[in-house]
Amino acid sequence: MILIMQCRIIILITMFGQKNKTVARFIPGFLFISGGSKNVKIKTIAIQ
Amino acid sequence: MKLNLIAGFTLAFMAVASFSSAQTTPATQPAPPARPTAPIVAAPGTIYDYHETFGPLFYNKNGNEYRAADGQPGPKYWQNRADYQLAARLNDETNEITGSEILTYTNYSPQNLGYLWMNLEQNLFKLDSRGTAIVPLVGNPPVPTSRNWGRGQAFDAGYKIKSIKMLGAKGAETEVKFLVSDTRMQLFLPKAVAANGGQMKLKIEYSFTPPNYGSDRMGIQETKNGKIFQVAQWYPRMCVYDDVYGWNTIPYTGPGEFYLEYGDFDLKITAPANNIVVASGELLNPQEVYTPAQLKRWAEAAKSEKTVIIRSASEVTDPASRPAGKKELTWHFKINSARDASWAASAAFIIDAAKMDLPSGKKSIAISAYPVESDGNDAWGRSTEYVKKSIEYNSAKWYEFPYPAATAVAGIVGGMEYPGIVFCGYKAKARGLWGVNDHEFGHTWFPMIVGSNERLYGWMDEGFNTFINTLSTANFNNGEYKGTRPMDMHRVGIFLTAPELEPIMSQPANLKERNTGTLLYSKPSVGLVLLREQILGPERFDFAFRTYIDKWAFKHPTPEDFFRTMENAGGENLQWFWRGWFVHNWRLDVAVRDVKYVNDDPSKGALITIDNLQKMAMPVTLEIKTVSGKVDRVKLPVEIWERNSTWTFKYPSTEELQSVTYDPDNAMPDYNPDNNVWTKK
Repeated sequence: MILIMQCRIIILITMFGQKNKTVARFIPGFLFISGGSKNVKIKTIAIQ
Repeated sequence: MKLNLIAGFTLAFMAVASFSSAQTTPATQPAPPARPTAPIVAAPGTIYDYHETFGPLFYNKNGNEYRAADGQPGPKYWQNRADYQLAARLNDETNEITGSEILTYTNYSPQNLGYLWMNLEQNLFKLDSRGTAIVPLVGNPPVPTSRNWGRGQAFDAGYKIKSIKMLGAKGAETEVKFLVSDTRMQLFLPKAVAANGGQMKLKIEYSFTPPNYGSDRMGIQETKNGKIFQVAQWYPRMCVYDDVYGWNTIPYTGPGEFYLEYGDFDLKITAPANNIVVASGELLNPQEVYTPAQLKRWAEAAKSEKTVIIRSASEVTDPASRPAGKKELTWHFKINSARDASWAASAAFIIDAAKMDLPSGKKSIAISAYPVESDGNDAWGRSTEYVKKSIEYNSAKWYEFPYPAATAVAGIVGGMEYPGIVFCGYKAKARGLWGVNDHEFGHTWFPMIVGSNERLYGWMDEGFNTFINTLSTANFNNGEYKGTRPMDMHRVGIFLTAPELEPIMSQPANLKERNTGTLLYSKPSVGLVLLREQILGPERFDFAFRTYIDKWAFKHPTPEDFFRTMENAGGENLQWFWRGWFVHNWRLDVAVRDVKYVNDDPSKGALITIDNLQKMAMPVTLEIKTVSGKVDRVKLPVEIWERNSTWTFKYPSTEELQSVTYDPDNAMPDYNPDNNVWTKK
């Protein structure tokens, strides 16, 4: 079986309505991204 | 030994005598020379316990006639065998699969078996299965989220077992009582299967409808030219009866994969005639299921280093690309010495293929099946090239690929391995497609050739496979997809030994799902990289790893069998390493604490002190720079940590040292590099 995210991922979470407020998170190993909710945008900005 | 004891008593006596003498010697007498002693001191702040790391009795039991002390199967090793004749019919409108199975089961165990257990993995996708019940709620609002289930699809899931009959020698059929419990089925035999080679035949009639998404290991993908069926866990399969647990009946709840008996498979898949079927093994009746033009292309592909298109993108919608005149076609495949067989079917397939050259001189064939959505040279147009190069490399490096064909199938499954066939995501491209094809066919070696128990020890196939992927990827096309930067083990160590992780030595179902990538794949792979590059060296490691594969090919090793083989063939006691990296989630933190000079004179040598602050031990490399700019390296064996948490050694300096750096190449998983460098003040 393949490892879905076989790498470290930096995801940028941008809160709508809170301009320039971003949170960078380092998540090792397997990760689910089930999509953003109404007020949160999730974007993968780097895969290392 | 006797002499040593005498010497020890003598030294003890002399020490006491010396002490007594010192108490009575007048102060005016010169003091006797100080006896050199190694003070028993611990490194400041350390939690390292050298006995915990290096103590004996690592193994739970001694070697025996079944599993030898040197890690190979013993002279009385046994395993049972399951041979299958499988026939199935696909209804591509309702998605239903109707099957018939003739199972020949041979009992080589020393016990008579009056009941059998079989796997019914399709039952995972029932909404009342154990696997469905354990899917956690995630998010707000909370939604059941997991990779390992049927995503809650409400449909008529699970196996419908129509009948099970025991076949007698003269064709007599006897009804067999059975009991279904979640994803297992117990069969109560009218007559026990005799020990030491007894055999029985069962005939099972069944049907099921596959889920659209089957725990990312099977499923159905809609494309513009038709559905792609990736079909697996599609027939009742024998549970393994072994010398370790007896019947292995842990249910299929999703996280843990499979543990299956070896045997030969004969498959007959009947599908609508516009479908192309690919499967594990060799197609025995190509003339009945391909057109004359395609048969010529197959013959060309069997001799070609380059990919040959069998059915092109433009032909997919052309009725002339399928044999005319029949509503259905039956595809006949055979694969031997396999622990499973799977297949895929679609009217949407482009098919291409190329020859594979194996070390013995035998040939096999790499095949890809994908829809037009996946076509293109940056995508599945290179799939067959990837399959060919991956398998040729691993065959030369570890053990020869044992099957007559290797087919990569694009579809809904992200990446899943079966003997001679893999299912990969239809959107995969370039590096991602190389990665998934290389990984899934890397599973040929673990667990298809080396048949470990995936349900219990996922790291023995995923981790070992991820490790061999690092070498095949570095090799492929002069490093086309090799990483540009070397791995920084200090950063890796932070993640791989994070305190919130469970140990590698866990059942997959016993791990938080978010940790499975680390603990089944990355950490065991990094462990083998450390063993190869930092502990044994490539030559000794590769011999030991090949020995493990060779000795356990088509058999069922346990973790201890692996550990023992690596120690024996590698020639090292590695129990300290297994303990730290596999059995426990120990961390490594080595500090360079201090530098002093002999008699405060740098020209007489430097006394360098390093501390082991955490529970793990590894060999040590230090880089030493002098004030005039000379650079030197010192290697210290792991044995310095056998009875010390701090170690001082003499470096033959001729001038003051400017700095001492532990692990200058960032090759060790030292999670705290802040204390790795001593610098002259």
